[in-house]
Amino acid sequence: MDRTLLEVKDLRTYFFTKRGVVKAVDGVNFSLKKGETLGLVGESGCGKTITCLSLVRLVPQPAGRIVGGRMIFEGEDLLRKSEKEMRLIRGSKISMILQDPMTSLNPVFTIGEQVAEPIRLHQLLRGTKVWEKVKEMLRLVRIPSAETRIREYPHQMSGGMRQRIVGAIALSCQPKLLIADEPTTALDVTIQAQFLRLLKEIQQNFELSMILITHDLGVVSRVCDKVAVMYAGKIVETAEIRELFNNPSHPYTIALMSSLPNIDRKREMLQTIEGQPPDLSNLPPGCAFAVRCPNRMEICSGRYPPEVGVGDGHYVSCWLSTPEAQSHG
Amino acid sequence: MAEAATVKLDVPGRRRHSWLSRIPWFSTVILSAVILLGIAGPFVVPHDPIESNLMDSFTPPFQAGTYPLGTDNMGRDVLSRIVGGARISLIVGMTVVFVAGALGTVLAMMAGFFGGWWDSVIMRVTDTFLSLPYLMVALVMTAVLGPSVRNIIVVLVVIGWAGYARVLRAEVLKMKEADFIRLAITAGASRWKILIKHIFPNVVNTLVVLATLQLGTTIIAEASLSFLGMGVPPPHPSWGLMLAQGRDYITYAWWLCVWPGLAIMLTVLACNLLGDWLRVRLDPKFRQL
Amino acid sequence: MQRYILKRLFQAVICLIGISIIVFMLSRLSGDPLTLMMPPEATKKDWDLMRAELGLDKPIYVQYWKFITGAARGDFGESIRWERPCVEVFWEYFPNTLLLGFSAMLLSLMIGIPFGILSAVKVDTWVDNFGKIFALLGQSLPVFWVGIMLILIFSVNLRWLPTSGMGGWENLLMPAWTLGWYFAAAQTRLTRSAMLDVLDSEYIKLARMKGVPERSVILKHAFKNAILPVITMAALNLIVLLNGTVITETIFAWPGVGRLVVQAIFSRDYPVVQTCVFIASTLFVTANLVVDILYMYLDSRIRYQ
Repeated sequence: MDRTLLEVKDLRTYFFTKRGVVKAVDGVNFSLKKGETLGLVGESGCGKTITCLSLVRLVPQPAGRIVGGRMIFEGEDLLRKSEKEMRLIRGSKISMILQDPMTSLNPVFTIGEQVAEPIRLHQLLRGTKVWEKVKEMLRLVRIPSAETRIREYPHQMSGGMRQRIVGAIALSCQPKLLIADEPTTALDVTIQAQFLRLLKEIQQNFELSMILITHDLGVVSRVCDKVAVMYAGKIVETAEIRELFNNPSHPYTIALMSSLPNIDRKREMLQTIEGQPPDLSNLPPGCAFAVRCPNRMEICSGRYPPEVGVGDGHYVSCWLSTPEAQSHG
Repeated sequence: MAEAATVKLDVPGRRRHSWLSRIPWFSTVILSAVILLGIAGPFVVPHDPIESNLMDSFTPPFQAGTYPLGTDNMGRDVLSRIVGGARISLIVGMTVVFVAGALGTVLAMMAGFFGGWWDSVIMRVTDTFLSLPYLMVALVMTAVLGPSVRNIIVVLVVIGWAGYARVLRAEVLKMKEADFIRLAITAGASRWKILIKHIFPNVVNTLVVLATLQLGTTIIAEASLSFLGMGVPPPHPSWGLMLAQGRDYITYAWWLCVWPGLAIMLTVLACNLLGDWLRVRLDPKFRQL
Repeated sequence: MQRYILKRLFQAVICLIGISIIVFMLSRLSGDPLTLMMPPEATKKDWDLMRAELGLDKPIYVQYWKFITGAARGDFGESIRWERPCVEVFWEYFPNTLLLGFSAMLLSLMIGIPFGILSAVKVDTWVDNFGKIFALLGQSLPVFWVGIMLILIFSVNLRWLPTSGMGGWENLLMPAWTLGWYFAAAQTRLTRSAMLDVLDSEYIKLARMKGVPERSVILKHAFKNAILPVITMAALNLIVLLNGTVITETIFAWPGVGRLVVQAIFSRDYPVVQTCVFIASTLFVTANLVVDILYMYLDSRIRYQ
């Protein structure tokens, strides 16, 4: 039985601005199985968020447009669907959690109202059945005294609780895919751990697939099965989690990992990656990381490296891993 | 494998820049015309705006004669009076804006920067003046002092300074926390020196925008006063006065009301557009006033 | 919260005292207020009588004290022209102004809000530009010209509506429109900018992600948040409204406070003038105070910074 839930092929999303064309997502490929968690990692501005917005076709308009590729979800190409069909999918089959819990909830509606809305929209329940479901969802995300919370407003809750409510909203219609955009960045460290544990639990119980966007490799190591590293709108390396940590191949991945402070090693300078993040409206023909890469070769800035396999399920786009390049030097 | 050649895609053009930024030409033309007319007007007009000529009264406009915009009930050329009115509006408008603006700015800087007791007192006074229904008060004051150009200017300044004070004080408060101000203080500069050298140049932007918009408001205020009979005394040609006079003959001499009103509208429109344009150019963070 | 209310209350009181001083001074600006009020044929005896009757022979601080204690009680003296208590005259005319004012406000909201929402939703398109032009024109046209033009078009040429006086709804239409024109424009601008602000927030993005239909996103999720600044502005526009009534009522011969003030000034009835200005200012200060407190209360619910 085919367990692939989502397959993204050559996704391209560009922004057309006065200053030029910004290639936010430039040929992204990945796939996701049922129940699997994919971590999407990279610096700010590398295209992780836009990739996910493209998945639900909520790219900011009119400047942004998906210009190419295919997104096959449950066997159907999402790019071929009408807006009305997409609306039915959003919130029910594919859900999203945003980064800042403080601003994700509408201040003028009660918690109950906000959780109830997708239930009413997608599951067509009415009356008391809706409220039963709402309470069930609040309990699922471990909100205590759900009865009273339903009538309260967002400003009466803490950040951690708000994020869980956002989670409840996202999960209320049993989606097949949950996209979480930096869900823990705005939370305290201890709350982070709790939230991630909760997500993992729910995922296991409901066979939920997740895409987790983050710049924090620590979070990735705890929750993800698979990781895709993004840079300048492209995926530069993708692998199973253990494989990636044991065997990082792309210089960017290696740099990301070494910039994590390590408790074992004593008194080191924190490593930073030299150079500036790339200008997405002005990308070089070759590898965008080349200018910052400590191991760059001549071919790197000239031509974009092909994707090659360097292990089981482990793919890299880097000339260093391509045997042909070695001979060029 | 070479990277695919850059995709040639059509760029949907014009969106980003607000249409407003293309408009200043309109404002510039109109305002320059008004200013020019105001200065050179009396020498350029075909007829004397004050002299009456009852034989020619109520000539309709657009006839091939010597009165392009028609004449009024006293036979005076409407076009010439409009030009004359431009001068009045300009004199009153600019003087009021300048004086009220200066007064309001100084008080705002003192209130905002010195703070404490100064702030409380100045702010209370500002609030008081802002709570008055300006037209009513202006009417009364002009009635008591006697209608004349000088008195109108005085009255409008008295009523107008508070608007500047409130807005600019907010700006000064924002700047007080800025680092470069702290640096200047620790460097030992005197309070007044900081005000003049550091704070003022930074509030000038807001002041200019506000002044431009207030020019339009002041012109309307002057016209309103004249319309109600408490403004520039006849036979001076004020646009507002012309409208008041024209009102009596509206049923058969429509042009007496239309031209002065149009003149006011175009001038004020030009001021508003210019003010908006300046606001966008000088401070993109500026929201609605 | 309590402290804030007390502070604002205190400020309002100071404001009122300041206003009373200004109002008091108005008729004394050029010296003896009697010179303004006495007809030219009056004899010296008339002057002395009047002076004693109005209490103008007493020292100025006594006069002021009499004025302000009277004002607190609602006693502003008697109107010279009508020989009735000023307040009585005022309250006779005031309801008409209220009627006009509310009609104008209603009209402006009915036009301004939908236009503003439409402009915000279709930002940067021709719809938006049209809305912006409308707003701009509205704020550039002087009140009296709008009134006169309306009369020209609808009364003189088309003969649909009466030019003046109070009566049925036909009499109300043009004055209300004249008065409300400026606000409609201001409301459009304000609604547009409030909506644009809200449409940019995270919770709107989330609403879209829930699959909420766009119309619901705009009207239910966004507008409910945008409405607060819109409503507060509407309340605060009260004083601009009062200014507009002076002219509008004069043009349309509408028997309201604006017209009363003008007539009183021309007939030198300064007690009435003082009454009107003072009450109008007091209303404004009160409105301001109430709005501020309400805003503070509502804002604590909404604040999520």
